[in-house]
Amino acid sequence: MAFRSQPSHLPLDSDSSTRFLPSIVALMVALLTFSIVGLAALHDSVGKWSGQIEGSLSIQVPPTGMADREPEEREQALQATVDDIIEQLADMPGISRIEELSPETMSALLEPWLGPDEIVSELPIPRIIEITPETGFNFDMLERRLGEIAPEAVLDDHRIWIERIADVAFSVELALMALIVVLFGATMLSVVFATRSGLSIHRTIIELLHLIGAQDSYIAGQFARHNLRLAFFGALIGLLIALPVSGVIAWLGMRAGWPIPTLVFSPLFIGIIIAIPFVVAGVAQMTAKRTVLRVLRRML
Amino acid sequence: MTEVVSFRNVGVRYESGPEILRDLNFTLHRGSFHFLTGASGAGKSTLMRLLYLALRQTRGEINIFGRDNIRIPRDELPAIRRKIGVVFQDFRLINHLTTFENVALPLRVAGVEDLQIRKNVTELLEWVGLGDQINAVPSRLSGGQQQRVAIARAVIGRPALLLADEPTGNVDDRIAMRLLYLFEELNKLGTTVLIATHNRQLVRRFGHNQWLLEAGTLHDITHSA
Ligand SMILES: Nc1ncnc2c1ncn2[C@@H]1O[C@H](COP(=O)(O)OP(=O)(O)OP(=O)(O)O)[C@@H](O)[C@H]1O
Ligand SMILES: [Mg+2]
Repeated sequence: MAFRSQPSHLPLDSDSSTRFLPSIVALMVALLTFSIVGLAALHDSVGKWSGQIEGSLSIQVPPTGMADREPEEREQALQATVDDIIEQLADMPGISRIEELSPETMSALLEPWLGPDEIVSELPIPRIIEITPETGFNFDMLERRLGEIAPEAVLDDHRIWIERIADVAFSVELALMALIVVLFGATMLSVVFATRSGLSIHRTIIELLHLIGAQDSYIAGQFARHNLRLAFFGALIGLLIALPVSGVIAWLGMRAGWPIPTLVFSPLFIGIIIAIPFVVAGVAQMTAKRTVLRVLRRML
Repeated sequence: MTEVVSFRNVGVRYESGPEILRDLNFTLHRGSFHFLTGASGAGKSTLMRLLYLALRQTRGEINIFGRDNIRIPRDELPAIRRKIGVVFQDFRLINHLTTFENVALPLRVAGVEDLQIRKNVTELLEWVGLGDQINAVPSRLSGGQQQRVAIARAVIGRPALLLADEPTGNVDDRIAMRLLYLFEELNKLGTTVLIATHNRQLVRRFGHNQWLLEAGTLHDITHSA
């Protein structure tokens, strides 16, 4: 007794509860892990998209119906439209800055496709006006005003699209968080129920130990240890199933061009994943202890 | 002589059923040896349950080791139970523990050292003729062998009070005699023994005190038998 703090005297491993508890815990932990990994990945993407939204919004003014005109004349007409748009939109609420993309920037942007030189001014290339929105910005109103000024101009709605996706993703993120809370609760509950049913199998043993003079704490301790081991084992199995599967999904995603979410490598995330088996095992241990003590209190 | 157990006007009923035992008045003195007989259903096991503190009387007073049984605080019960060895009528062996571990259980629970446990348990198992079944689980043992494991578990802690409910029901007369000698050995060392049994022949052969449970009450028939 002196060299072992509290040895296990009851090899409780050889009964049916031994199979039931770990498998249910493994299943729950696997689901929990998937949700957490999914949440991490989604959160990361939403963060990236939101970053893109911070950037500006653009209006393209294409040289519609000017293909047969002289380049000089064409450029002048385009410039007039651009100036007109900038002038009329500048005082619209929700727009902090509006200016045409300079020819230098344009040629820099187009260089990879068209090569260097002054070629930009020779070709019928659309002009681009950049808008930096601020609070009070109204996409629909802008679209309407633009339609009145220059019907051929196209408002690049890339930003709006990202914003909507980000909105949806954020809702999904919230839903995932709720799911994780529910799954965690369900894991704890299944540990509680598996423990209870396991203990009812052992009721006669509990009773016997009680009658041969075991202290309540001794009996509870034996079962708590047993449960701790079963639940920890189950949770590890769950993690061992969930992590490689998540890895495969990430690999498939990478091949499809999705970035690996950086959050996955954050200490918080790794900490949470590592904590799962310990938390689950701790709950299992506490549940066993409390359940046994309750059963014992009803005995004389 | 010191009183180990005394009953005064004790009555028992299970829930709202009829009174199974009534007006029990008796005393078990230290070092005494009694047989408890009675027809099936007379209440022998019920009386045993009262004695090993698994059941409370519905009326009357029970004094055990100088304590009023209903006034013993919960946390003091284990210490008192360790002074009582019980052979249950249904054995109550733990199915997935070996013979050795089943017998060692009371010592483990009491925190006895491993080395001591090994020595005592092995010795006792040899004595009851189970030396070659040390690592067998109960399901591999015959009824009589299981009964001997249950007896060994009851006596391993050298209890002050030994309660045996039909301890020789599944063994032949030769082994029954041997087990009763074991109880007598313990009795000589000061253990108070109470044995519930149907085996009148055995009772007669050993000639100890004999109590009869009949119609819910206890009759001393030591000299009338
Ligand atoms: N847990 C219980 N609940 C209700 N009634 C019970 C309970 N245990 C025993 N009884 C009743 O109490 C009476 C006495 O039972 P008990 O087991 O004490 O008899 P016994 O003398 O030990 O019989 P046997 O020789 O067959 O073992 C019986 O009528 C039985 O039906
Ligand atoms: Mg009986």
